[in-house]
Amino acid sequence: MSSQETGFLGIAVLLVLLALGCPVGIAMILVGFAGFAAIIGIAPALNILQSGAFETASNYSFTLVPLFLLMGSLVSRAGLSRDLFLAARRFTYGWNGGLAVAGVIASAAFSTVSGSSLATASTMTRVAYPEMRAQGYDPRLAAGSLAAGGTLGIMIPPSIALLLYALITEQSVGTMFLAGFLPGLLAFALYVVCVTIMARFWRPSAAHMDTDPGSLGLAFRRFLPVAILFGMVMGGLYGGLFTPTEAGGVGAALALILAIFRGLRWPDLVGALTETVRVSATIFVILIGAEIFGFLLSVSQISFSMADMIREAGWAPWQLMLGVVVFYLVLGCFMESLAMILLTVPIFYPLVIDAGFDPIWFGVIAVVTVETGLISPPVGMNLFVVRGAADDLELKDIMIGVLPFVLTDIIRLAILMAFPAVALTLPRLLG
Amino acid sequence: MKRLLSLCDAVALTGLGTLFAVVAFNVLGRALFDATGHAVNLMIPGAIEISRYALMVTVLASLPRAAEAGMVRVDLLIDHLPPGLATLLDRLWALAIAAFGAATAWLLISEALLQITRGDATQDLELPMWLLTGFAGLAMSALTLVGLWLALRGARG
Repeated sequence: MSSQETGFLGIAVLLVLLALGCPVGIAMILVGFAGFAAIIGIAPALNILQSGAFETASNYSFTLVPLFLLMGSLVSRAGLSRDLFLAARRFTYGWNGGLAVAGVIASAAFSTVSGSSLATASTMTRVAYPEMRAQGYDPRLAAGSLAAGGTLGIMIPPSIALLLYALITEQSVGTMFLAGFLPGLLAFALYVVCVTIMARFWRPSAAHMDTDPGSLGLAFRRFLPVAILFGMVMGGLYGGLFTPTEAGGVGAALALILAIFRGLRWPDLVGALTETVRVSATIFVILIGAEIFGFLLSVSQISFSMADMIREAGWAPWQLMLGVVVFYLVLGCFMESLAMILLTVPIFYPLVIDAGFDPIWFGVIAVVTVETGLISPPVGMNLFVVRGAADDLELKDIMIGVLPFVLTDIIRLAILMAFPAVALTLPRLLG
Repeated sequence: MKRLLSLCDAVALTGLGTLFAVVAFNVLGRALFDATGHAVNLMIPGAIEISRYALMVTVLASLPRAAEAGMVRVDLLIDHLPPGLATLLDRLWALAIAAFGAATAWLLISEALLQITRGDATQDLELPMWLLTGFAGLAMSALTLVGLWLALRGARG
C-alpha cells in the first residue's frame, strides 16, 4: 500500500472511529500512530507518541489557552452578566422585542471577555430568560435569541476557537483576533435585525409591562467593568505591551480582581480553576491527537494528493471553498466546535492555501461555519446549553427558535465569502 | 481510584496556579522594570521555562480526570446502538485510553531513566530533565489506571 493510500485509509478509519463514539483526541492519536508506523516504522512512531504528548503539553505557545479560559471562567462567576443585561435593557427600552435584543447585546458584550460560546449562552440564559418569560415573550423567540447570542463568544475576541486556529496554523494570535472583530460585529448587527423581525411574528404578549430600566448613566456604569477589562487586555496586546500569553495572564488577573471586588468566594475561585483545568485537558487531548495525526498527514503527503485530485477534477477555487463550507456546516450539526477546528483544519488548510486563499480569511470562515454548527439542529451544543439553563423550555421550541438565526448565519457567511475585506481590513490596517 | 483522581486534580490546580502567577507577576515585574528605568528588576528568572513546565504539569495531571469525566466525542450514532453494544464500545475506548497512557508512560519513564544517566538539564534554569519527564510518565501511568478502571466498570471515557 502506498503512503497516500495509507493516509486516505487513515482518514476513513478516523471517521469510523468517531462515528462509533471514540473520543476525538484518542481516535486521532490511534490513527496517527498506526498510520505513521505503517509508513515509516514502529520505532519512529513510538517517538512521535512520546514527543506528541510531552512537547504539546509543554509548548509555550499553548500557555495562553488555559489563561484565556481562566479569564472567561472568572468573568462568568463575577456576576457581570446580570449587569450587562440590565444595561443593555436600558438601551432597548420600549422596542418591540427589546428584551430579546438586550439579550443579544449583553451576549456580545459578555463575549468580549468570555471567549466561550457555551459560557456566554449558559450565563445569559440564566439571567435573561426568566425575565423574558415573565414579560410574556414567546419561548421560541427568547430561547432562539439567547442560543444565537451565545455563539458571538466564538467570534468576538478573545475567541478560543480563533486562538486555536492561530496556534495550529502558526498565524499570529493578535491578527486572528483582529480578523474576527468585524465579522463578530456583523453577526451582532444581523442578530439584532433578526430578533426585531422575529418579534413582529412572535409578538411578546406583555411588552408594555417592561419595568423602568434606570438612567443612561447607570447603564454606562454597568458596562464599565467589561469595557475596562476588554480595553486593557486588547489594548495591551495591540499596543505592544503584552505578548498574547501575557494578555491572557493579565486578563485572568484583572478578572480575578474584578471578581473579588464583586464578592467572589473561595469555592467559586476553586470552581473557576477546576473548570479551567478540565476544559484545558479536553482541548489538549485533541491538540495532542492533532499533533500525532499531523505527522501521518505529513508523511503520507495526502494533502498534495488531494490538491492534485482537485486540480485534475478541474475544480475552481470557489468550488473547493464551497465544498469545505458545506462539509463544515454538515459536520457542525454533529460535532463539538473546537474539536471540529482541531480535527479538520490540518486536513483542509493546505488545500485551501494551495488554492490561493488567505489563511487569515479561511480561519474566519472556518470559525463562522463552526459557530453556525453550534445552533444547528439536531445537536448544536448551544441548544442543549440553553435547555440546561432554563427548566421550562422544550428542545423543540429552541430548535424552531434558532432556525431564523441559522439563516442569518448563512447570509453572513455569504457576505464574508463575497467580501473577504470584512475579515481582512482590520488585520491589514493594524496587524 | 477517587484518591488518585483527587491527587491528580490537586497537582493540576497547582500547575495552573503556578502558570497564572508566574505570567501575571512577570508582566508586573516588567512594567516596574520599564517604569524605573531598569533600576528595579523583579522579573522571575526563567519565567518562560517555568510557564512551559507548569502547563505540562497542568495538562498531563488533568488527563486522568478528563478521561473519567468524559472526553469530547460524537454521540450521534452510539446513543442509538443497543445498550450492550454501546457499553462494549465504551469499554473498548477506555482500553484505547489505557493503551495510549501505558505506551506513553513506558516511553517517558524510559526516557527519564536515560536522562538521569546523561545528566540532562533544562536550558534556562538547569532543572534536571528527568524530574519533568518522570513526572509526565507518572501522570500517564495514572491515565492508564483510570482507563483500565473505566474499561472494567464499562463507563464512558
